[in-house]
Amino acid sequence: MRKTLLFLGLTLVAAFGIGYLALRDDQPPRPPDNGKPPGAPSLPYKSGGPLPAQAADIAQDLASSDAATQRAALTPELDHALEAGRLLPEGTRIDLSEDSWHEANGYANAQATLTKPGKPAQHVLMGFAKRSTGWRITVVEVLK
Amino acid sequence: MTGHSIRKRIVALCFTLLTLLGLTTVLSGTAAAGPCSTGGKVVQVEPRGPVANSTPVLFVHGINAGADTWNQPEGVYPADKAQKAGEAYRPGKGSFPARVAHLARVTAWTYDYYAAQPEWVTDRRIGPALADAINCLARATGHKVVVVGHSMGGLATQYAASRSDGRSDSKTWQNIAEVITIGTPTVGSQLITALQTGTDLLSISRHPVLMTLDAVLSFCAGYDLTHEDDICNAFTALRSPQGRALRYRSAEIGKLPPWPKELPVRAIAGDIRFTLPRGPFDVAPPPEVGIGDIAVTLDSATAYANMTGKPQVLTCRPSGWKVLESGCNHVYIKTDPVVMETVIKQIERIRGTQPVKPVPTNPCPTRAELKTAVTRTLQAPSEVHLGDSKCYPGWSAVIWGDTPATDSVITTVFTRTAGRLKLATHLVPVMEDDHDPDWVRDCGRLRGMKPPARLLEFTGCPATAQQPTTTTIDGAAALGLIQRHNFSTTVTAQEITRMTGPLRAVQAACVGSANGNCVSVFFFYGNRYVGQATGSGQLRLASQNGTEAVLTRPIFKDTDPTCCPSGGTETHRVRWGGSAVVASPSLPYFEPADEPL
Repeated sequence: MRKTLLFLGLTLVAAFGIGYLALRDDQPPRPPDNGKPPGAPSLPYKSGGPLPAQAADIAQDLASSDAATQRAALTPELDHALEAGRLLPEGTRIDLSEDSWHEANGYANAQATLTKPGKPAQHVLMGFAKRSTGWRITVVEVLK
Repeated sequence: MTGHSIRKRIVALCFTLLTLLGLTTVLSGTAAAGPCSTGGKVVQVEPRGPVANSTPVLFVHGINAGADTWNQPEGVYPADKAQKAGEAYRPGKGSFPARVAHLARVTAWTYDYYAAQPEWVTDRRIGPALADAINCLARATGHKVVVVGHSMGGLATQYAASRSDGRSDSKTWQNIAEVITIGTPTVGSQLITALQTGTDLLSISRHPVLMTLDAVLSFCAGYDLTHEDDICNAFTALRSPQGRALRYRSAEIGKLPPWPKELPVRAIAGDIRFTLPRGPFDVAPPPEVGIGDIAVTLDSATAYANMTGKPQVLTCRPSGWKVLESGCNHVYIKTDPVVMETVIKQIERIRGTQPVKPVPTNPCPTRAELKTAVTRTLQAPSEVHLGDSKCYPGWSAVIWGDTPATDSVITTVFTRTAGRLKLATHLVPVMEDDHDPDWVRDCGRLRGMKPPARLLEFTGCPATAQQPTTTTIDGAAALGLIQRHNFSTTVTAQEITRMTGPLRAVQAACVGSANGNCVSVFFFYGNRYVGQATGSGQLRLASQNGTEAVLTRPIFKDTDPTCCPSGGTETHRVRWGGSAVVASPSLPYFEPADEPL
């Protein structure tokens, strides 16, 4: 009887081990998948994905050297509500965070690092709304 | 130890473990159902104090939620707080209803209509069932209910308040001490309208509130707080068919019955004052905008308060994406410490002060019950269309007809004992063509049962039998009247005078009648001529005693010659019905009159 129990036990362990090897994820470990840059504050968001090309273009338009192009990246009502003037200085750089895109019900957000000339980089959260003309920016918040 | 015995022990051990596992699962899932639990909808919150003589507080959740929405711990960032303290997040610890349940002489209950989502409050499982729950709790405890309604729960309560209490002529609101609404979209939600209108139309409106909501909805994408019940989940529900009824100033909301003006309603609302983050921009942001609790703007959440002073408004100024975690937002405001304190204070103020009236042991019948009772008394099938009805202690009366718009109506009077109706009498005006022997207006019989004076008034019967101003009769005048009608009688004036009254009948024959078959019986009450019964032939006055006269009438078959009826004899008993002569069965030809002699 003891031999039987020992055999059963070893069989179970072997089965578990084989199962683990077969089912485990072979991908290398990934960083926390909310898209934030290293050292940036943690936000309560699920794992994101890559930005759609049009949304990425719109986000980059904010850093355009042309003031009108910057404004056109916003939703019309945000553009209308903000004071007149250039949004960001020429030479501003926007580095979109990979896999930070979240989209639901016609709205979305993504994170990026925004660097104005001569100023420290800022981690920002950008909001988007889907309009008939494509994605437009609803808000940009500097994350502290 | 043999292998066989070891196997037996292993099997026994596994069986025991499985049984324990099953029992644990069952016991942990058992709802703490109270006396008003119907299908698990009404649950008493622990600690479960004695129900009788407690003040019940009923928590009603809102759209896209269940009763567990009240388990949210108080304060903002509930999960973060618990994690920082090193505690595992435990839903239900220190929940709002549990705090209320701890109050002395108070029982806390939750009403759960999750199974009926996403229906509107008029669904029988929501508003009507809520009314039943409120009435049941009031009866079970003996005290009016304090209802705390969050979001659409307030509208469900508004609908329930106007429903019958199911036992009497009272309404559900009469079993409610006070309603406290939290974030209830009394006139609908602008956010829902915006979501259902479409984002392109939003750009046309350029309303600052809608622009701000754009930012908030952007933050919601991918938002993932540990607790399932967050404001972004609520937004998902707002696109549902139920959400359509909650549009700003929707027809569905317009059709809800108004709050009864005698019912105290206290409104609590969140007011988030939100400034769009300036962000990295070199231009100033738009001015601060009030967005209510995000789902419900302030004007809607505070649109109705009654007898409770001004609505209570909690103001918050969150920044950026943290608006999703603001204690003033639609989801978290219901467990905000300030809100809970307000509600608990009101409960303590109301506690024990509003007992409900005991349920009557002899309740008035509903109209359906009256119709059934009337139908039961009919000897032949007939439609019954009810008119006015009255209910008095121990009595009920109803006017009805066999068609909806008939002038020929009957008043049926019932005595009532322990809610059971028993026929007292039917009252109908005497009609010449009424052949039913039982339906004769007989106020005398009704008066003999000693009903309330108001019942007699309702039936039109005089409170006392109309006594003639004199019981004597002028025999000569009576004879003269008969003769003026072209009749003659063998009865003399003196004999008429000496007849026992007040009801007297005199048989007379047409003047010039060859075969004596043209006969009438003249009736006198006191010194008044009150009518004439005529017969096509051989009507006879058989007897009289001053209060009743008996007439006989032969029945002719179709083939009978005029001399010789073969259908037998019909007997009519004639009495004074209080205001007119009544006959049972009715006389085929009767001309009523009312002339002084």
